[in-house]
Amino acid sequence: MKRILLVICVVLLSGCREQVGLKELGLVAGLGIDKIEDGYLLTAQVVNPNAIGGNDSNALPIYSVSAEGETLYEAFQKIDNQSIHALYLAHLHVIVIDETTAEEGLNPILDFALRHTEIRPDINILVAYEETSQDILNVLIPNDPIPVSQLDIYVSMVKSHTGRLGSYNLYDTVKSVNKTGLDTVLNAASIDREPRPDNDSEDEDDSEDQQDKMDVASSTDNISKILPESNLEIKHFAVFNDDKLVGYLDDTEIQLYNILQNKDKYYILKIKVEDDYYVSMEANRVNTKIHTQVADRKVLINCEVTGILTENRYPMDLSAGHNVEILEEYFSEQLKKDLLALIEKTQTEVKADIFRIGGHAYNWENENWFNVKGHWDEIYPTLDFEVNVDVVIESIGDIENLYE
Amino acid sequence: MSTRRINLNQLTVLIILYLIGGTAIANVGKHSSQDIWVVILISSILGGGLLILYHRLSQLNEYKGLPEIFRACLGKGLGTWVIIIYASFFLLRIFLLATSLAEMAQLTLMYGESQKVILAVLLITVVYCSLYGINAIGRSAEIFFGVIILCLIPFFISVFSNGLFKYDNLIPIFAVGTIKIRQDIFRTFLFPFGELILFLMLFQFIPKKESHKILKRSCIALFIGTLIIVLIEVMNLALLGSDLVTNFKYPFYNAMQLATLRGLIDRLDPLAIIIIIISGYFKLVLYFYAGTITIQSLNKKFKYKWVLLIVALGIFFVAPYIEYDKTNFLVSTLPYKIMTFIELGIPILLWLISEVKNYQQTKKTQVI
Amino acid sequence: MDLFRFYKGKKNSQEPPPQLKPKPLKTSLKENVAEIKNVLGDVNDLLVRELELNNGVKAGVIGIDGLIDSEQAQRLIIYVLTIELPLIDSEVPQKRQELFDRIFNSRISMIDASTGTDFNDLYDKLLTGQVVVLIDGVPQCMYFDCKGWEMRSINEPATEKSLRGPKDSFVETIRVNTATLRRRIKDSRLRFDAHQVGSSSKTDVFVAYIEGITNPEYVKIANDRIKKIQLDILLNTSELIQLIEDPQRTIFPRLIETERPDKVAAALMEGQVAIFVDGTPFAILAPFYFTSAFQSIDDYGNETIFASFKRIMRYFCYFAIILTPGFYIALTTFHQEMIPFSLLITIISQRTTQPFSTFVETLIVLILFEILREASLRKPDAIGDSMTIVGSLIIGQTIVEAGLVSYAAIIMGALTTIASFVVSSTKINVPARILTVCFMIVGTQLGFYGITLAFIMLITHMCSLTSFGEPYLAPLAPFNLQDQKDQLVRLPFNWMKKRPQILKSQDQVRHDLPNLEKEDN
Repeated sequence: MKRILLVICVVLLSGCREQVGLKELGLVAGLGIDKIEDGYLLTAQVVNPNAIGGNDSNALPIYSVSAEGETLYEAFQKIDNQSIHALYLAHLHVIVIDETTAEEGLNPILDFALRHTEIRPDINILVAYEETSQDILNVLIPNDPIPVSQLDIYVSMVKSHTGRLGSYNLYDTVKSVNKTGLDTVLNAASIDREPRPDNDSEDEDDSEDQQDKMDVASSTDNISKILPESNLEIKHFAVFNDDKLVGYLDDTEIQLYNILQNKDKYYILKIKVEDDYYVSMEANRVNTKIHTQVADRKVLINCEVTGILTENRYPMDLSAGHNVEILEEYFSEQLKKDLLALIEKTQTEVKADIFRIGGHAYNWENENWFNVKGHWDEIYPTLDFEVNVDVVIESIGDIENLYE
Repeated sequence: MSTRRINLNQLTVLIILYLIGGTAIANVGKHSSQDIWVVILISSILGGGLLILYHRLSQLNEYKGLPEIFRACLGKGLGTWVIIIYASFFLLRIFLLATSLAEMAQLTLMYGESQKVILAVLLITVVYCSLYGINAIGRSAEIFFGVIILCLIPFFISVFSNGLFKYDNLIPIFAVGTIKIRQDIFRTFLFPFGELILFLMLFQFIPKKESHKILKRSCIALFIGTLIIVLIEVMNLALLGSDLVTNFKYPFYNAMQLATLRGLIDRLDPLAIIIIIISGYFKLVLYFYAGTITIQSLNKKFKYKWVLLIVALGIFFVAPYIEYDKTNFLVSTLPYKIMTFIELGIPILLWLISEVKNYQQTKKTQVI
Repeated sequence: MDLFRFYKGKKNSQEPPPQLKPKPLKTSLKENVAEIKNVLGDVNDLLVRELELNNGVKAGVIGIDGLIDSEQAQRLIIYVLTIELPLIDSEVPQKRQELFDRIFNSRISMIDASTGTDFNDLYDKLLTGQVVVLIDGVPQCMYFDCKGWEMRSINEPATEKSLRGPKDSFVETIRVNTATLRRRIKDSRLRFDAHQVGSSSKTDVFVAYIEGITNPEYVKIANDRIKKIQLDILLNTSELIQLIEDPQRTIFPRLIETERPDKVAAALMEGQVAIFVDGTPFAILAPFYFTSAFQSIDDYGNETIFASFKRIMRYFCYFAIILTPGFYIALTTFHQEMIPFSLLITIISQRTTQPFSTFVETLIVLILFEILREASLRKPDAIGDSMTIVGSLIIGQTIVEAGLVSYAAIIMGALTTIASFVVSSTKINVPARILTVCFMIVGTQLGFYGITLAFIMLITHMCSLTSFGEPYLAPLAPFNLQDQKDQLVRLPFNWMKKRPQILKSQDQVRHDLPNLEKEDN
């Protein structure tokens, strides 16, 4: 009896399905989504393994396919048809969105990403700052055969250490976009272009200039120079309200954002003492506590930052303990000022509750939150923030004083 | 095997695997977003009460199997009808479980395969293993329990070492409202914990001299099983957040995708699949075995082998034609009233009858 | 050789063996000798020496040349009868029977002596190497054991080598084997139950056990099963294994044979039963547990942590052999998302020029390794090294460079083959190699899902096997906490105070050594 079953098993299994062999697999490393008139322009950056594996090192390691469609999935099917490989999204690292799409809302993209079982949750979503995402995907940079994966490695390695980037995964983003009181900040990628040396007249047509630069950026000429003309970088950070893009932070503000989010990373704080002397420290421990009292429209933030002194130009004798405390006070003041400025910015310019005050209220003061939930957007700018910062310098480094 | 026997350890492990099997696939308690784990805890306490009831029922009838209990308490005619009801109940559960396992495998692992082939292979495995009898099933359960624990450990290590655990996702408790929680408690009580009625069939295989330890062991098994389920659900919630847990079809699989041991093993997906398939398989094989014995008891001429084959073939061929609610089928296909009746109503009735009989018998022996 | 005679033998085991008619000896020497020569044929290794004792009584000494130690027979029997007897006995009893008894009881100085009256017995004993002495006028004969044939000397076991253990092994003569065993177990409770299997071979089969430790059930099962065997000739232990194993159809061995006396001695002391077969240097140990194939003698020679590490490595190797090629094929065919990105790129870039699918190339590599293995078993020593070079060159270099097979498949095949040598001391690696191919087929058709289900089927199948009535996967399957001390890890001797519970021995306590850690400072 059992033998018969095993035989049936083997017979059944003499498969009847299409199987995608490894050779026909097109690994998509990055997806770019641009909004065009009636739909989306989808660009996929597909990996060419031969160039990387060494069989054919003259070929480019990636190639790009794009197509338009009214919905995202339609566009995806079109590029799947165009490419000679069967596109495989399981190793997708990065999705780049352009500003128009982000302003309209992230939800369609997140829906696409979540429903697709192949897309994994640890991808990064980037906004293309003043570029089209197609351009961002088409830049070849010298450090990694796959530029978009370099972006991903950069983001994942760096984000785990420095506080200069936002760190999140797909699920965090999803959680944030749909709940009031939980807004998010995404990294925004941009292209850093060197001005071309032989272009000194300033009234050149901008678009041609742009196109020329793109041509150079997306060819191997870019890689073969010691100082490449174009490079990818993340210097701006997109702020979202619900799922719509409302503004940007720059890279000093993102550090403050991460500090307020209680993220355990390295931060660089710097002060200018007596308008002349720079002192900087590296903070490696942050302990931020937010207390909300939504009924009274008050928020209290207590921030404790601990770090080591990294650079000192102020001629002060640091071997005396109270001198170090003076420095600490300077740092605390500066940080408090910066934090308040940032909070002000989010309340007035960029109206988004990126510090998740609403989320805190939801977790800790549920009944009060329930009352204000409906019009949180109007209440948030009127909130009264009180920030207390306490900077502690644990160590001043290897030497005490350089100056006499 | 001519003698069918399980020992106490195997019974414990089977109960644990049985409990994990159902909940890992079906998203129980999903209406009560953050409070899934509270729901499971409370319904496990209620389930403990149910287990004691079942055990008492079995004990009063000298640990005979369910069909014998029916016949003894309700008489041959009515008893046979009740046996048929229970047999069809088991068959329906087998069908739902097999199709849901096949669908899960198709969605997550074998994207693009035909569902028939997946279902067929699953049924072949179950039939093959049931042909070896409950002895082999029990022993393999002991081994696979170890495998499942081994698969869970990297998950926990990875979550805590990568800092993925977000406590904020678990609070506030009871924000959803007690009505929904009460509903969910009732549903969870019926779905994983109410199905313990199947173990009434297995108590008869424990050697007589160890029968008095069954209650204690089953309660320990219930406790451990609940612990594991609650741990998994808490992990799901903490990693994904309550919205996603409510909306994902298989949240455990998605939560596992976030877990990684960088530098050692990059992706831990297969572990989730292994856990779900193995625990689901054990539930399925126990159902098969119990269902087959129930059907076999209707008529002495039915041979075990053939009943097994007919049930499997039946499920395979009928599968495409039965409509069921694909989003929540494991829990809600049968109206709750019927399930309450089968899992709660009839056993309580039988228990009362058995208590009365027992009382009368002890009175008789006292008089004599 | 007729391969089906095993099955025929089994079917006939229900009928009792045919009884031979008793044939008593005749009185006259001439007639007896003529009868013997008639039955055995006029073979030239039948030695018949007719003597005349000191009162004219004729006697005959018969033996088979080559089986008997001629020197002993001459010195202790013929010399005594011809030279010494007249010197000792000047007077000869009148009655022949008295003469017979006197010679038997007091004159011939051999330790193993018996008498008999039946021809069938006589043939049996003659053919096993005993010397028969007949006296004219007495319908009785004397048997003296002067066995002395050439046999292999005791040297290192060929299959189960050990670094730190004793290096003697069993030989083909059963008596030497029992002696070797007795040298290790000087317990008076050691018993040997003797059987003779095979109508033409009359092979001696001894069941060895220690009374008071071994569960009598096992002895009973062993004796019953051996008695039921009906065969014409039993050549070696493997045949016996197939005849007395539990009747389940499976590729897993449920009894194993071993060449090492120390392993047999240890097994006996734990409560197992050993079965010796004359003519083979192997002993069967029953009952056999799957996990005992992973215990090697060297484990007990090394210290705890290293031994435990080695043991875990053996388990790992075994399951790696079975599962790895299947996994590799399943992952690259179905589940590319589970392979890390950079590894995936390497694999793809190698595969673009492959003509075969992953399954076929892994199969080719495994078959090549099997051919290499078989060839190296059978090659004459003279060719030896050149064969290795040819093999490795062909497989290693040429195939890959020709582009027929990718590097990954070669690595997979090589690792599998080498890993299979780690557990090759018993027959346990045979099912592993078969299962490798099975899992590969499942992996290529149904991917990871299929492999998981096939693994479930495999484990359930193994759980259903029994060896002499005991579950095959004990002590893992009916889980026994106390027995775990010697399974996955090897805990110190001080901790193993009891014999393994799975063997259900009657005397549970091994020793009473104190735990060393509890010493006071």
